[in-house]
Amino acid sequence: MATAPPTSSADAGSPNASDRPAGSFATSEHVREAIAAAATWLELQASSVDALNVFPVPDGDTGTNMSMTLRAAADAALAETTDRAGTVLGAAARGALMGARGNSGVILSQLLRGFAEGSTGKECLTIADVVDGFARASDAGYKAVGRPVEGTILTVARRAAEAAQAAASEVRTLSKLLERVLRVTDQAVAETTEQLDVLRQAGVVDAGAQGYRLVIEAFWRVACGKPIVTDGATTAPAASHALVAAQHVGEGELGFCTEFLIQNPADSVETIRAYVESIGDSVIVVGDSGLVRVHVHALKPGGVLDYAAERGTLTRIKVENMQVQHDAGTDAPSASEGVSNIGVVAVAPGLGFKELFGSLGAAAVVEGGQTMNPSVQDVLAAVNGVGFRELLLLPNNGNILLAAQHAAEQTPRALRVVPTRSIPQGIAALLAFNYEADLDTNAALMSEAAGRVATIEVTRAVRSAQVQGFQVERGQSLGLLDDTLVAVAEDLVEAALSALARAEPERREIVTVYRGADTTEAQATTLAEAVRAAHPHLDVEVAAGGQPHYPYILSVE
Amino acid sequence: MTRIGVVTDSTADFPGDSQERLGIVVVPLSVTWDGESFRDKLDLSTADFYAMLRERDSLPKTSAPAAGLFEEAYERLLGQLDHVISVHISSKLSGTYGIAQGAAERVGGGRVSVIDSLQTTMCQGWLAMRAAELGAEGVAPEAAVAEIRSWVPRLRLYAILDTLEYLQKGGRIGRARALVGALLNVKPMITIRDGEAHPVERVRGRAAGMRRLVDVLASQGQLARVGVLHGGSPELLGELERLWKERLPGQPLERGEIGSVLGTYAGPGVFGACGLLAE
Repeated sequence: MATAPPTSSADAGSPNASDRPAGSFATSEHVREAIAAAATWLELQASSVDALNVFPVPDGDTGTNMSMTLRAAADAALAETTDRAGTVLGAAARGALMGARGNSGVILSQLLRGFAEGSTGKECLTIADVVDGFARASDAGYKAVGRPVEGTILTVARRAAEAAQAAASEVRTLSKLLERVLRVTDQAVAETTEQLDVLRQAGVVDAGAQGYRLVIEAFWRVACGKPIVTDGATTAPAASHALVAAQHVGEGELGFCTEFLIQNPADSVETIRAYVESIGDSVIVVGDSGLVRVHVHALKPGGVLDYAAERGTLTRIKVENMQVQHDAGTDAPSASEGVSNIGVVAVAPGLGFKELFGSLGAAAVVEGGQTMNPSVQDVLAAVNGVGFRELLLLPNNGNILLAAQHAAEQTPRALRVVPTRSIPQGIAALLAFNYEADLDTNAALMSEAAGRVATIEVTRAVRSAQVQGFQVERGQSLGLLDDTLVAVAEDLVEAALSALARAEPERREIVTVYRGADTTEAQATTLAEAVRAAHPHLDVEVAAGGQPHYPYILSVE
Repeated sequence: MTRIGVVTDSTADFPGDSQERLGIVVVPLSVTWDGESFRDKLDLSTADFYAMLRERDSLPKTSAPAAGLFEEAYERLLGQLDHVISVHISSKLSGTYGIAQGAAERVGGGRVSVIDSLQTTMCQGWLAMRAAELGAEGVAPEAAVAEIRSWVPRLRLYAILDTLEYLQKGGRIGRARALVGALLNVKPMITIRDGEAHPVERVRGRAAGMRRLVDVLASQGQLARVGVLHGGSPELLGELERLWKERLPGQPLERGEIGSVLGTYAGPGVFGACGLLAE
């Protein structure tokens, strides 16, 4: 979308670059550049988008999810070597879908898919194609969501489409078109605060909306030849987010494959390589004084990321648990020794939950959860790696539902998604698996069982906020009942008890306390005893969940 | 009129006094425990058995009756009656059926019909009871045997184990291994289908288990007979019966106790329900 050099290849029926004035069209190379710029632009600002989380609980991953989704799109665009812009855009859309993380990532991938739809096979994209792309993107976005809500990324997509349409006949270059679209989306993003109660209370704009605006801004920057850099202030936290996730995923014998780029490193490539070699193997450290790429297999990824974050700006961080990949490929019980032809794949955070789901008969467990949404690709790999033709998938998190559904559409196997929104729902669903029933009956039985469980999550506020009628101070304990904040207290036990009191304890029978990675058994026992004292009729059990961020998750059934 | 006698083995369980009332002959399996040998239900009552199962660290071993016991029973009955129907525990769960069949071939002279119930406990008891009733009605042996065989596929048995510990220790866990889980308070539901034990599902807690037991059995179809079963825990039947009365008002419920042979593997605290599907 920058000033376009005319290309010589002509093709009847599609816009020919040599007939058009510079700046009025985008070639395949422009598309690659624009998508890569959008990915980098979002990576640079991921942490500030993550911070737009309306809840003062550590689950705001929108920026990270969207940037990882776009990075997958950019890699796919790069791998597609054709000189047809429409084909490159299609490859990017496909890449985005395979790499989509979280609901925001899946919606973004649908916007890209819509954008690409009308340009299939075109050699270059004209102003009219881009205007049409914005309209199709908006349509695809609204279709991707069951009940579209205004004040979100969808609103911004629609406003962008309207702005593009209005500007279409008045502009001669893509940069002008994108400038007009960007101006309207700025306004649309700012207005989201007033469109949704939760945003108004938290005093923030919608994170997904802001993410899409950043994508459009990156396109505009490429079209005008502006650099993709920020003032640097917002870059560091992007790494710290990955650090949190990385430190909590636990380790297997194979450890983690960790990859990232360091921009403007303070040390030389040789110094960095020497350090990385001292902590892991399969080391690749290449680059120059401006950019260094690091690849290492290490038992714990935290150390190398900490080291690198102190020496420069980290981007394109990728941490993969090789043990999980290995397990997904080899540990699956073969169908022949199993008692059912139906396998269950679950998504769960933490070693405790991974073991728990495994011991309860899950054929594979995909590492992931609240702050670490697995991609569609991760889910597909697990689903396709187990020896069952019929499968049930437990996403166990509301933010993983869409990725699960997309995986279901793409696997050749018969896969039903049981829409579990929490770990307790997932465990209840898995327990309800009936060895005598068929796939659809099991999906129904398991959904029903999941619906009978109330989930209480207990955590500490990561910042002060006014939310859902509560004034929350940083560090206070929060009790959430089925994702709704119901209790704010000075300590975790009090928050848990107060949330439990809202979960109709008199008609319940069993409470299971899953303790988090940083919670000791003694602490969890104290909570269990407090629950027994408050509700003597309840059967209370403590189990190790190993989940990050949430000291306690309670299953109430 | 042909007179029919009925024989079964001690894994059959009966509601109330029906076994004595119908004159059904029971051949005992034997229970060997810490070097001591007991005749099931004769030398060792079911109540004593469960008490010992809770107290002792070791598990008893059960063994099929000696062939001589069957030969003796068949010879005695054939001395007074014209035909014997002998109903036994699933041939896939015990060698008893095979031993009875061998005895019938040796001493029966074509007048002993041995039936594989593909079941056990009260389901097997029902077959023996029906055989005795048909005999009393004067139905010809061939017709009686045909009717008993037609009941076999209509029988359903589901049980909720308090723990899988006993099934595991007894080495009979087989497919039910799938039900083992790390959480406490997870109760496995098993069924006997096609003569073998199969896992069904798991429930959290006893109360939920009772509700699911009723749900699962009631969903099998219209039930002509319903039985409720316990293993050393008669106090569990009150709640189970209440749930059945809610589900099937007016349906008579037959109470039974799961005997020691099955109890060795199911463990104390087991409860179950069985049904005969309407034709």
